[in-house]
Amino acid sequence: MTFLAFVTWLAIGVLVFGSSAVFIWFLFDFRKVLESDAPPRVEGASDEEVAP
Amino acid sequence: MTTVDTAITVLYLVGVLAIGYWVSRSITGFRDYFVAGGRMTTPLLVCTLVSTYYGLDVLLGASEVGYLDGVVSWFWYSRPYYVGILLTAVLLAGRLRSRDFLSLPDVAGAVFGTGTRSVVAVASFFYSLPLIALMGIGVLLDVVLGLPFEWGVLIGALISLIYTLMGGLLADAFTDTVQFTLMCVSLGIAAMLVLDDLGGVDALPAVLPASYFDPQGTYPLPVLIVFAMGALSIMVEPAIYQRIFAAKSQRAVYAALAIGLLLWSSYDWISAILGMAAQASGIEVEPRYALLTTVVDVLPPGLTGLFVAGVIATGMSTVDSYLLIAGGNLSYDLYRPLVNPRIHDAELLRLTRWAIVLACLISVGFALLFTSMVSAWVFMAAMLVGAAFVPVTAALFAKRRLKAAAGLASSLVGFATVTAVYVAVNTFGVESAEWGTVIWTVQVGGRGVEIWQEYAVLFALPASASAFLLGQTFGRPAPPRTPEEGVRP
Repeated sequence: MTFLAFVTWLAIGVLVFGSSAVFIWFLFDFRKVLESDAPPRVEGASDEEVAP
Repeated sequence: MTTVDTAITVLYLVGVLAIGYWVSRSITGFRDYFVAGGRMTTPLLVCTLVSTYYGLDVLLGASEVGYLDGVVSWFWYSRPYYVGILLTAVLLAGRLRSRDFLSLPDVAGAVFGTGTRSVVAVASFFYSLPLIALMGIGVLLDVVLGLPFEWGVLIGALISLIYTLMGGLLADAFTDTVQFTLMCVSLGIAAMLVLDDLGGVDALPAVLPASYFDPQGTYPLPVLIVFAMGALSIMVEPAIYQRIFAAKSQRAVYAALAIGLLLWSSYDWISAILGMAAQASGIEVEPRYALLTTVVDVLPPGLTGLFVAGVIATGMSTVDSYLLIAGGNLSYDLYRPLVNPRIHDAELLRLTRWAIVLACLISVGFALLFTSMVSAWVFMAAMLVGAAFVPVTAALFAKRRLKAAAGLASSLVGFATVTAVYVAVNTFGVESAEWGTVIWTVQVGGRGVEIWQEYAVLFALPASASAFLLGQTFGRPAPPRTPEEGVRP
């Protein structure tokens, strides 16, 4: 297999399997988005400093 | 297209409307509507970042350059943007999330006041009008379904408008998940079938000239550097900013941008390879539509519908997101600070929905009026960089107190310089068939110096930076901020 073919098949693999994996991750995750309360954002505070 | 293909396409369109309606029930206020209440997790961010920022202009543009020139498409048109994305993640994401910003003009407005916020908001509004995506959907539905172009534009706009109006960024992001998967999977499958039909990717070097495999192609290096500078726009990209503000945590932003980089680079590579495959197979079409024609020729029934739905998804995921941003520019970034700083949250939400309708009507009008808006879009992107890059980066990085005059001068001068260069090049220059742009040749010391219309940013950025320094040196110290400027819905 040439380098061109390797890179092209790698890109196809990332597109097909990578996007499917992200979508499956989203399916397990979306309830957290809908059911969570909006985190308060305080001026000057980092994410870690914001109260849950 | 067969009945199965049409059914798949219609099913997709009905599906995104249903998702929009379902998500809309969780919207309770402007912050929920405009930045999803800051609740977006990593997988949702990946889907919405990848599908929003990559529209039909990228799919058709990358394949067009691949068709005409080969892998230079990936190395010089796409790769610089990955650097821009990395810089945005490393340098900007933390700073953007350390304050209570909701939009790009918010960043400029927080430091320089209402004047700079307004100039940046106007530039962001025009940049965000989704003309190219709407025109792309119109062309696609014309090619594959035989619908008149105008009907295609109206259908694409109407469906995107309905679910964006209902659920704002959350509905937009949830529909983006389906659109993201469709556009990536369908392109990957299409590439497998097209390359298989050609005898594999290794058959390309036997048919195409060697320059197609040269990272620089046939372009002069200075031209490539100018194109690469377009990646600066990432650092003031309103859709990417909005998603950084909408993320649940900074870690989610980093993870989403890293995964997004992998997907973006793969998507660009395959688009370029499909363009090259179209050239190798001897198809003679308008270069912009080489990819569509090649793929639709090869795909079997069922997969054609999936691919068409994927291409429509590529366009619609851009239309919905940018309509939301353009509407927010009118209501949140212009009306609220200029007319009614104490506007009630519910009223702001209602006004934003009307502003989105207005932005959609303007976009449809432009898409139907003009046959080619590519140059206009390039102009608006240059306008955004010219008006926003210096004040926004200064607002994020400066350690000393900045003056309002510096921000206003830099955004106005950047705006004016881009306009002046475009007007001058289009007045005195000539259309180049070879490069597909307008070039003005100026005689300097007996030598002809070519100025492309794309060079506008090269003039605008130094002019904007000089105006900033003058404003900072001679401007009056900024007055204390009024309470209204600090009000957030």
